[in-house]
Amino acid sequence: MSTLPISEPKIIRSESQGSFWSNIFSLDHKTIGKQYLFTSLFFLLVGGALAMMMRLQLGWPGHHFGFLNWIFSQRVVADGIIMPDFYNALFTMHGTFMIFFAIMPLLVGGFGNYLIPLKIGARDMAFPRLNMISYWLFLTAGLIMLSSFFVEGGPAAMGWTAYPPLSDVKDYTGIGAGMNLWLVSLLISGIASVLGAINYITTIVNMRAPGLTWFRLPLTVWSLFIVATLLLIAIPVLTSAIILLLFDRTVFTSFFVPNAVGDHTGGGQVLLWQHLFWFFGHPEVYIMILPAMGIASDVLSNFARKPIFGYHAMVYSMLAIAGLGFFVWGHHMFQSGMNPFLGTSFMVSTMVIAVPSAIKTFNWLGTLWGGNFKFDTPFLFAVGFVAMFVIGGLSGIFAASTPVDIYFHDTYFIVAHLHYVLFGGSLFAIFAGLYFWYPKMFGRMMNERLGKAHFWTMLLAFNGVFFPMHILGIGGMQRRIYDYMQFPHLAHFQPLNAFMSICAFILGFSILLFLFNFFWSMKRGKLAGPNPWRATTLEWTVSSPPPHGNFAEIPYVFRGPYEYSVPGHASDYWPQNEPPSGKDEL
Amino acid sequence: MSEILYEQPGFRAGSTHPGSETLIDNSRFVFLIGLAVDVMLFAGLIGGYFVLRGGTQVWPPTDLPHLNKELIGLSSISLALGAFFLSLTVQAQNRNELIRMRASLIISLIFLTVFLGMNAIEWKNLLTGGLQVRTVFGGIYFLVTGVFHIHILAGMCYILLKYRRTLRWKYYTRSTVSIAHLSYFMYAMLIVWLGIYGVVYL
Amino acid sequence: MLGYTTPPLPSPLVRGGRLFDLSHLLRGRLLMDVIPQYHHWWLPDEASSYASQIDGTFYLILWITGIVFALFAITLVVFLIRYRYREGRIAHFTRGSLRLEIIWTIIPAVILVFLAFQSEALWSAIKDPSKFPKNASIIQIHPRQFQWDIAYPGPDGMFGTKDDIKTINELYLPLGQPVRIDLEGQDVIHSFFVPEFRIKQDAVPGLPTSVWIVPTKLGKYDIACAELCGLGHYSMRGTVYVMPKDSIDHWLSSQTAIKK
Ligand code: HEA
Ligand code: HEA
Ligand code: CUA
Ligand SMILES: [Cu+2]
Repeated sequence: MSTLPISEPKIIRSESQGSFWSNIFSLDHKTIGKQYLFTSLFFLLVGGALAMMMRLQLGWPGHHFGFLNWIFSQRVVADGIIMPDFYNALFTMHGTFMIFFAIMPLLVGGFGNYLIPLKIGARDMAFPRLNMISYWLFLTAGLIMLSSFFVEGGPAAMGWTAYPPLSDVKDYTGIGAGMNLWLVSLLISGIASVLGAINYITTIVNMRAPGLTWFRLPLTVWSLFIVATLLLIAIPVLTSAIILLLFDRTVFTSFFVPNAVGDHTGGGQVLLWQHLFWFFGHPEVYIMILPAMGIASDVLSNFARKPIFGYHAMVYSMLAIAGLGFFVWGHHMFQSGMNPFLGTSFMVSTMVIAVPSAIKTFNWLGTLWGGNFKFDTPFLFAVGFVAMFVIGGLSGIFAASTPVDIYFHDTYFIVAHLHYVLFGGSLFAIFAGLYFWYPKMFGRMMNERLGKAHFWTMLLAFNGVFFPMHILGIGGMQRRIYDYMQFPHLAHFQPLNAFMSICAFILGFSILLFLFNFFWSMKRGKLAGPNPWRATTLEWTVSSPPPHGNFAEIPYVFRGPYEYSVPGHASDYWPQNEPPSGKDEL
Repeated sequence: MSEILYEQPGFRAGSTHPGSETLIDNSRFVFLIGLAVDVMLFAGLIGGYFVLRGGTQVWPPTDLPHLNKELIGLSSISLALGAFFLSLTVQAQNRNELIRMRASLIISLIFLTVFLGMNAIEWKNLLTGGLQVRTVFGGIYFLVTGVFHIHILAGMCYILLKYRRTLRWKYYTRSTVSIAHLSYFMYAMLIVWLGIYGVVYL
Repeated sequence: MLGYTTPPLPSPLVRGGRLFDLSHLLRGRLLMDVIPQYHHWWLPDEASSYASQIDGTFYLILWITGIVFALFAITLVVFLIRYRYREGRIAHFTRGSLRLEIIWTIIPAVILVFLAFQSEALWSAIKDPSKFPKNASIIQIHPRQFQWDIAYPGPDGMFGTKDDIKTINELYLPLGQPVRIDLEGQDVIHSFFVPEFRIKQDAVPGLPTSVWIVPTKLGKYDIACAELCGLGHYSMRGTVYVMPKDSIDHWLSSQTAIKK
């Protein structure tokens, strides 16, 4: 292609064809990305399986599910009935696994590692060894979390938000080691995230290919860059909260314990945890949506065969979401006893933060406008992402309105909101990204038929499970309750819950469809070639899967990432590294 | 239409920002980010201190043994001197003055030891004076200062390592960035410490 | 009507009687009322003085977001159909439009700020301690795992004295009278939630909080704990009885008599 005066590439490391161990402890960002991918898909299954158990209980409270006794001990499932403390553990571990070990590592660890160097024309991350350490720490954290199922007293069961004093004083729950392991695991996974984030930032700042200016970066890379900075600010605060709670639990300080109880002298502040947790927690939810937005933007533009609408607006709105995201945490605490005037200011900032999301939504519509798209699976999932994210975002507005949140706080309305943004948003975009980059990762296409079947069953089943949750919330059903039949005003929701549970099983089935497709296509899929989607960005200029060291020579970038259907250009896509036609090369 | 930017050739492939040679190098950059993360950790802990203080009627508790403002103030000066001599080390290294480099490393180490020593005395006084780790004030006090002292201790170990390495050098100083990093680190810690001192003691 | 004075509540357009009380249609109840079986698949009855205002704000947001979503969905579907792949057609090349960006920044911003103001007025009317009704009688609820410990001050009007009247899980409220409920958790955080009153407030250990209520409907309602508080969280249920004022007075004096 180009004969630019670029120094001869030196292959930095060449152990990729090496021994078994050098593959396991690989330093190659592509291998590490795939390790993240497989590990977090596994944790997604764990989290999903826990959700299936919850749906059994919620659909038919008190029913004897004899087959559960084959798997579980009598202590947690007595006579086929799921026990209340086990139910609490189920949703706690479900939320924890999904957020910390599935969605976040899929987006940041999986896509981030795999795509960043390829998309910016680098041979690897700035610090490959740090990258490897980060993965292994993450895996350790995940295994520690899993191991907590097997300790005395069972795993953490205080909700994924772990509010003290419940999570603090052992006497209140009887859960000892499980909660400590939960804390240690999150501490370690936080370190892993920070190491990864440091690496991403350095790589993106310092190692972009020549000509790849900031405003020629694909939006996926932008989103990951922004997310990395969010992680750096948010995670240390979570870490400090975890340290405080660990001290409370192990040496009986009283940071979060207001009254003297057991070995605690008392005098602490209950709300301190909530402030620290949500200072981290809210940026955390944007950490899980921004890369999804980036992925969806890339996919939509590619399939519409036109540039992303309002590239600069897209970048600035992501920056705005990230910046404002640190000033809204109090919207989780409106009813917590926090000063109501503070509540008002958090409401205002929360309303304002919806504006950049609106900008993004309308720009996606603008991208579709006048396009020419084939309905391939990645595109279906990307469109699904936009639609589901809008529903989830709009239900966020109800929660943001302080008086309405008096009623909706801690009801299923919030559970509906969070699944629409996290599942309908993040996970749909993850699937879009997997179908889109699978050919790059494994050299073969995923099966289209199965992919479409996956999409449609998932879309319908997803709405079947989670849309009725709005109705439950409007009907006043609290979240995190084991048996709503206790409440006369909720008992009539049993048939609706049963319907939702059935949809949830179909949803689980659709994920199995995906998995089958995923592994089947690795051997049997149609060969992809370097650029099956006729895309413009740098990862599509190398073979699939890319060789070790990615680029034979470092590409030179001439234009932005979304040059589709440029008038006057012969083909309908114009790769970033293709020298300008008609003009002489330098 | 897509504007076309013709970059000047002459950059190193894949290592730096296009068109500019002088951008911050990877290891320094990563060090600075890491430092920022560390400072955020302290921000979280000190934020916790503020919330606890704000929510407690009598703060610090009435039965608190005397907090030795003067001693810890002196120790802060010692910390500042330690950081200052560390930066002299960097300077000496840049000027290739091996003897001065070793000397200032040692002096810096001494001042840091004095800092830790004074704080150890304070800890001992507080503990014997009856401040319990389990009380809210005691807990947050020992946690924040303890985490801080661990940082200083780690820095001192690093200085020792560096010092041992300089013993192997004979005629000139090897230029490595790590001493410069260490000096940034100490200055950052100094700022954090002044924050802690201001919040807890003043 | 009821012989009571509610504290002044804001009456912008979400207030009952205006735009959003026009009919059941606007309040979204139509379907649920037509099919009695599904009556309960919607907001529970309104049984406190501010319940209808909260519902009003809910409906206001429901209408706004509903319209936004409908417009969005229609556009999306139209685009998906119109611009599906056709052989030989070339996508329309455009990089964006500053004018459109400005429009779709400003319009949502205006709507959202409007919503924030609407919400703020009602929020402070309910939660601002300085706006609590002055003549409210006071009841103490100090929940613990897993029950609601309720106390009335008794004839001397003070808590913590011998003549306090205590109940567990049973709260008696006078119809049409303002009451203030002082909450504080004894062990972990619980949350006082009565769906029909549209009130929810965490009862935090070490941090006293208060809510006020003017019940407007006779009846029996559930108190549901809305904050995860451990094993028995799901069964931490109490009952509110709203009764005419004289029955409550009668009950209170009979309780005092029993004590003596
Ligand atoms: C990916 C994750 C994600 C995302 C992106 C969001 C986005 C938003 N969230 Fe959500 N949220 C969660 C994950 C997320 N949330 C989780 C996990 C919880 C529960 C935690 C727990 O307690 O367990 C939660 C809880 C939660 C609460 C607390 C509720 C409670 O406990 O009482 C609130 C309250 O304000 C809130 C608000 C919002 C708002 C306003 C947005 C906005 O950013 C949304 C903006 C988007 C749109 C508005 C849609 C697109 C815009 C338009 C189409 C334009 C036009 C719109 C208008 C004019 C209205 N969320
Ligand atoms: C990040 C994202 C995420 C994702 C993807 C999901 C996915 C699902 N969630 Fe999750 N959920 C949360 C995040 C998420 N959740 C959070 C943060 C909470 C709050 C926790 C708390 O309160 O602390 C929560 C809470 C929550 C509740 C409320 C619990 C309560 O308050 O009492 C419910 C109830 O139905 C639920 C259901 C489901 C279901 C059915 C799925 C399904 O979509 C799962 C689908 C996936 C699979 C099924 C896996 C694949 C298949 C198999 C493993 C094979 C087995 C299959 C069969 C047997 C059919 N979730
Ligand atoms: Cu008490 Cu939940
Ligand atoms: Cu939030």
